[in-house]
Amino acid sequence: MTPAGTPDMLSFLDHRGPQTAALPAWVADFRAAGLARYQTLGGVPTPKVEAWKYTNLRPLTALPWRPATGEDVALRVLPTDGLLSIAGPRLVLVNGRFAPHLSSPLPDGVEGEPLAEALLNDSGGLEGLLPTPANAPAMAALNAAWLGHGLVVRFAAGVDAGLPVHVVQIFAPAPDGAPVLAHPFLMVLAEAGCRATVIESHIGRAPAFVNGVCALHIETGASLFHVLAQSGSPETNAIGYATATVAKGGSYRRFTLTTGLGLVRNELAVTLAGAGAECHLYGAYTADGRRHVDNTLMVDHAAPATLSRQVFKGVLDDQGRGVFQGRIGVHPGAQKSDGHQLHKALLLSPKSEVDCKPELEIYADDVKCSHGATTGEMDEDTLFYLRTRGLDIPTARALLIEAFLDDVIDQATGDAPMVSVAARAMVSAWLASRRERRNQT
Amino acid sequence: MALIEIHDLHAAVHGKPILRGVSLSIAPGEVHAIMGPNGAGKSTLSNIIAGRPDYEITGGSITYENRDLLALAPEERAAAGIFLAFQYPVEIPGVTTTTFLKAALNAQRKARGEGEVDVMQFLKLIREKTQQLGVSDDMLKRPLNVGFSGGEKKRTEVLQMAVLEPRFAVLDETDSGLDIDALKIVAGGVNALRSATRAFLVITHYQRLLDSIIPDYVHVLAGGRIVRSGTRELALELEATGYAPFGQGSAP
Ligand SMILES: Nc1ncnc2c1ncn2[C@@H]1O[C@H](COP(=O)(O)OP(=O)(O)O)[C@@H](O)[C@H]1O
Ligand SMILES: [Mg+2]
Repeated sequence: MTPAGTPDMLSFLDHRGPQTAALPAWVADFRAAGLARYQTLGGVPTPKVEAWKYTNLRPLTALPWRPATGEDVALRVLPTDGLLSIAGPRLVLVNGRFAPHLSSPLPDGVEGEPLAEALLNDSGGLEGLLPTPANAPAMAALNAAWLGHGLVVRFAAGVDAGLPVHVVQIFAPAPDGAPVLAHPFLMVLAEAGCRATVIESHIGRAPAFVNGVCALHIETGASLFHVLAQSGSPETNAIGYATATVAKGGSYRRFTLTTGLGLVRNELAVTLAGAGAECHLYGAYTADGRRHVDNTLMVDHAAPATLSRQVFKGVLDDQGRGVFQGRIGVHPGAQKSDGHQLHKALLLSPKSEVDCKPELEIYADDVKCSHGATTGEMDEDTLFYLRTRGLDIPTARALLIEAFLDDVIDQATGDAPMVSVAARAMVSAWLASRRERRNQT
Repeated sequence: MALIEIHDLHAAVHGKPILRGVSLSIAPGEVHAIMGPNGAGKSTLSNIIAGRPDYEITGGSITYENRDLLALAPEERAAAGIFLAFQYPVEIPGVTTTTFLKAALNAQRKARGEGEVDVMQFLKLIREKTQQLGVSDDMLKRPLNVGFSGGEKKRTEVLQMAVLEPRFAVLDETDSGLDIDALKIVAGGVNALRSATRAFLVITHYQRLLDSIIPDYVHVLAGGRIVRSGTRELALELEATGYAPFGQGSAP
């Protein structure tokens, strides 16, 4: 059965991954389950699917995508954008394929293995750690159907990893210039009691459609700080589905910073699976031009005394569009859970738009849950005040935009000054490019 | 030669006339005080001098250093040496007082074709001025005016004035909400800036400020017009009679 309207997404399924023959048998089953699930769900979701009401993938599927190949990896030089100024070992994927020549060795207690090798070696109980395609949403199921490339990163129990580990995803032009389709898979395993920072960068350099999946396991008492920084060409479109499972006493802190790319959807489902588990989800994004940035979060309090925080702030300009869907679910028995969610948007242009959909689903009685959302324009009185001090309108606006986003950057990176400085620099770079564009027109 | 010359100024908000022919001439070195009942139009006049866009100028002119002030954008006025200490200073979350002062100073320097201020020099300047004005280091590190008391906000306004060194400064009820000690500090800040080339327009409700900042002239603004002008003694007289003789409200 082929889902109606999406032959383009399926036509190259047979190009997938390393040679099937050498792989363990379960891989073929896993892919088949992914494909079956994708088809059952009707293929690429339309806005009629509730979770995709505000983000329409259909226009993208019409382009003549071609799956990434090993040749794309030929990229010689690592870009320096985004958060790459921060010191730390690098694991680099180009169009989803591991690029050993751009990567660097990892410290003791940290392992990084290209997924293609991990599958061949069938190492470390990989099968049991992969998200089951049978429960996946459609695009994640499609990713499962393509399982083959990506990375598995493991922080050993009790290790304090020190420098952040960079997982760099570059989306580079294919040798033939065709728009690239990639289905990278990233797994991060933070074993019991470890402390680790992963900085994931998405750097757009070419027309691309990236359909990523990320599985994060935060074991008992482990603490993972995960930064996702997205910058670069608006021709690069990246949708991603991440799941994070946080065990007893574990902590997952996430900071999603998006100042580039075209259509972006960062879907993140966190399960606070053990008592006292925490997640702190922060986000700062800009959407200008015709860019579209969707952050869809689901936090499940599945154990007692769990805590979740969601703080997202977006700046929308031109015809940019922001989407924030945040759900907090509290399972029966997850007493003393504490969940809070906040989304704030700053609209800079009358044609910019933001859709915000909070959702609380609570099945326990002794809990604290709340959400808030504001959408506003730049305050005229504040602007006038700044002008009377000598700041011209573009400078005053830039200062206020920076201040608006700094607030969440501070909260997300309070104890990580290197990340804080680099994140601010990303926002400044966005502001500078915005100003340049304005001067040209 | 006047530094600033306001001639028969008429202004309205949403079609409602507020200033009905204000004329005022201020020479370099002078301090003028404007007193008047609530709603007289004092803040309107201040805002128009600073360039707030909400007002409709329906007649008259303002000439500043031989230029048509009303033709300049607020930031151009600032670069030309105009400063307004706001009656209600704005809170700016996310921008520390220090960052703000530096941004303002550099913006004005840039507009005048000067380079950015040297960081060490800037810090020295700030330290000097904050000590004079009793502004704490803590206030410098906090976002501008956020969570500041009324008095702290007013002191920060005067700090900005001291750092930016304008040639013509309007202080719109900078004394209201201050206790007597804070009032003395603020007045000290203003007096320290008094010079033969600089002029001030001090708007106040209370004559007590004028004990510390001695004005050369006092004007009464009522119903959108200057209804009386005089010297310092006029302020004392008003203290006794209130504004009732001008047909508007009563003295504070
Ligand atoms: N932006 C505005 N919109 C509407 N009315 C205004 C505005 N600014 C001033 N006014 C009106 O103009 C009059 C004078 O106000 P204002 O200049 O603030 O007086 P003062 O500072 O002398 O107390 C008042 O009646 C006030 O309500
Ligand atoms: Mg007033």
